[in-house]
Amino acid sequence: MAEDVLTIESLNKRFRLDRSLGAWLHRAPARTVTAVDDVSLSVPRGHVLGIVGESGCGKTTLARCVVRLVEPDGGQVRLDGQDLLALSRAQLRAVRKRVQLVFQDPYTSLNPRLTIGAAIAEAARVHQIVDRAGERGYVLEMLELVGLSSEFYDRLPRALSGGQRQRAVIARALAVKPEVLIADEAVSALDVSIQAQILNLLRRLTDELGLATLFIAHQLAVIANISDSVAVMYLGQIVEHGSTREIFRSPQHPYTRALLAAHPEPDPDRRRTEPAVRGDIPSPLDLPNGCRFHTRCPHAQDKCLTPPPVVDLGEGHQARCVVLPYAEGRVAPATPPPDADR
Amino acid sequence: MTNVPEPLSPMAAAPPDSPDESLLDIRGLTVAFPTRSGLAVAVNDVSLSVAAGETKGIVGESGSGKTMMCRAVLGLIPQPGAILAGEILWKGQDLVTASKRDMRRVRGSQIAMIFQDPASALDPVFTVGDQIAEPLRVHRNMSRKSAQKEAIDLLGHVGIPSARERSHSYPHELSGGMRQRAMIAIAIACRPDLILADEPTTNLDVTIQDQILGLLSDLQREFGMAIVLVSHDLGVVAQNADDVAVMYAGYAVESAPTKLLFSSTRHPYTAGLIKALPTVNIDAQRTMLSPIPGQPPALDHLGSGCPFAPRCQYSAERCLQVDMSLVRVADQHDTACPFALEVMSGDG
Repeated sequence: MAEDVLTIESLNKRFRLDRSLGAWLHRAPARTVTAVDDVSLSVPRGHVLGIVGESGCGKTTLARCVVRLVEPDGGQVRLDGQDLLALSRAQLRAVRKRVQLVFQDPYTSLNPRLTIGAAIAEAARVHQIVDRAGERGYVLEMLELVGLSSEFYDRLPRALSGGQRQRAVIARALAVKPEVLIADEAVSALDVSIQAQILNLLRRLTDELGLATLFIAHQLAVIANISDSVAVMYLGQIVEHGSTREIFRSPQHPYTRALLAAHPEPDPDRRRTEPAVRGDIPSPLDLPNGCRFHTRCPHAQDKCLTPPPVVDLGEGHQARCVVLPYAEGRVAPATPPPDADR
Repeated sequence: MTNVPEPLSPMAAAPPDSPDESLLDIRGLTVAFPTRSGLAVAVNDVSLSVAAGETKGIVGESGSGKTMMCRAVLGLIPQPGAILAGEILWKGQDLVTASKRDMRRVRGSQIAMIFQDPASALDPVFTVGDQIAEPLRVHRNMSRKSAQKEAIDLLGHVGIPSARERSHSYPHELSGGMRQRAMIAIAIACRPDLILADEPTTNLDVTIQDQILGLLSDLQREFGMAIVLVSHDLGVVAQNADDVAVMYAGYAVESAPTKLLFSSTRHPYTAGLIKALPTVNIDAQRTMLSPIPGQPPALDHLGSGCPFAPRCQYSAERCLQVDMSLVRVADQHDTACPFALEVMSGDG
C-alpha cells in the first residue's frame, strides 16, 4: 500500500454546552457533547476513505477537526508526517492549501457576487499558484478538469444548477493543488442522475491526481461505490473499519448490519435479513454506558455493558463488538480480547 | 387493480355505485405557475389512478411535479399556481370543481397528507396531542376529552413510548422520527381511505426511515387504506410500492407494477435512473456509474416533443413529434416513449 498522506490518530473533540442561568446559579456542571471520540484513520495517495454514519455521529466534526476549523481537544492529524495540530496559525495557513474541503451545499459555498472564474482565480491567487498573466488559462484548465465548458467562466453561481455548482466548488478546491480532498456530504443534495456524475468525477480526480480523499456521506450505496475503504461511525466512535469489500460483504458490527438492512435497495425482490433496529439514536449529551449501540442492538448481551475493545479481524478489518465476530467464528473464542484501551 | 378487498376501516364509506374500482382517478391533470419568463407547467396532462388499499409509488427528481400533483388532490396548490385542466375524481366526485365546503369534508378526513418536513408541517405552538385531537373534533365531532383520549391511543399506536406524557409535548421537544410519527398519527386519526405521503422519510436517518416505512405498511395492513408514496428514492419505492409512476419534467413517463418496472423497464429515463444508482451489493457494483448526461429542462422552456430527448441515448429527430401520452406496452405497463419497445428491446 502507498504511504499514507493523511494520518489521524486518537483524535478527540468534546463541545461544552453553555449553561442556562438557572443551571449556572445552581452550579450544575457544564454538559458536554462527545462529537469525536478517539478516532484513528489514515488515507494513502489515490485512495478514497469513506466515512458513513447517521446525523450526529460526528463525521462532519471529524472533517472540520482535520483542517482545524474546529480545534480538536487531543490527538494528532499528520500530513506527510507533519502534525497539523502543533502548528501556529501562520504556519497552518501555508499548510491549509494542501487540504481542501467540499461541502454539502454548493449554494452557500460560492460567493453569489463572484463569477465562477473569479472564485476559482481567487483561490489560486491567494495561495500563489499562478501569476496574474497565467490566471485565466489556469482557471479554464481547472474548469475543463471538472467537466465545465469555458462559457461558465463569466457566469454567476445563480445561473448554475446544483450539479454545475458542485463541479465549480470542486474546481476551486483543486485549483490550489491539494494533496488531501475532504468531501463532506458532497453529493447528498443532488438528484440521482447528477449525483452519479459527481461521484464519477471525484473518483476519476482521486485516481488521476493521486489525491487522498476523505469522503463523508450518510448514504451507504454512495460510499460503497466510491470508496476503497470504509469507516462506520456511531456516536463519535468508529465502530467498524475495513476495505469496502470486507465491510459490505461481511460486516461484523451490528450497527453496520443495521444500516445495510435499513438501506432501501432498488430491487423489489430483495428480502431483509436483519430485523429493523429499535428506537432513536441516543443523545450525544448522554451516551450509553458500555457499547454505545447496545440500547438498539438486536444482538446485545450483558457483556456489552462494558466498553468493547476493537477486535482485529485481519487484513485491516476491525470492529468494536464483542459479540458478532466471536459468534460467527471470525475470531477464535479462545483469543483473549485485545487491550481494552485501544 | 382487481380483487382489492374493501377497506376494513369503520370510517370507510366507498359508494357501492362507484363506476370503477379506483378510489382516486386523476385524468389529464395540468398544473401551471406563471413566471416572468412564461408559464411553468409543473404537472402536464397526467393521468393516474389509485385503487383502495394499494400503495402507489410516484418517483421523480426535484421539479418533476410529484409534489404538486399530491397538493392538487387536496386543493393545496400554492398561489399563483392553478389547475388548468383535468379532473380529480375521488370516489366519483370531481375535487377540482368541488366547493370549498365539500373539499373540507374530504381533506383530513377521507384523504390525509404526510409532509416531507414534520418540523415545519406541525404547528410549533400547539402540543402534538392537541394537533392530533383537532381533526377528530372537526370531522368526527368528538368532545375535547374523548378526542384527547383518542389522541393518546393514536400516539401509542404509531409507536411513541409513554404516549400520555408525549401528548403534552410540543413538536420541538420531539426527535425527527418522533415528529414524523406524530404527523402520521394526525393523518390516520380519522381513518382516511387514502394517505398522500410526500417524501415522508427524506430528512430522516436511514434506520429511522426504515422504522417509519415499516409503520406505514403496518397501519395500511391494519386499516386497509391506500397510500400514495412520493419519493425521489427508487429504493424506497421499490421496497414499498405495488405500482409505480415515474415522473419527469411534469409528465408521467412510465407506469407499471413495481416488479415489472424494474425487470422490464420501458422508458429510457427510468432505465437511466436505475443505471445511475449506486448499490450496496458490492459484487454487482460498477466501478463507474452511468450518469444521465446533462440537466433536467427548465419547466418554462419546454420545447415540443419529449422533454427527455436532449439527455436520451436513443434520441432522434422523431422524438420532437412525441406527444407524451402513455402507450400500453404490456398488461398494466404504460410508457410515454412510443419507441421504447423498438430501441430498448435488449435492456432490462
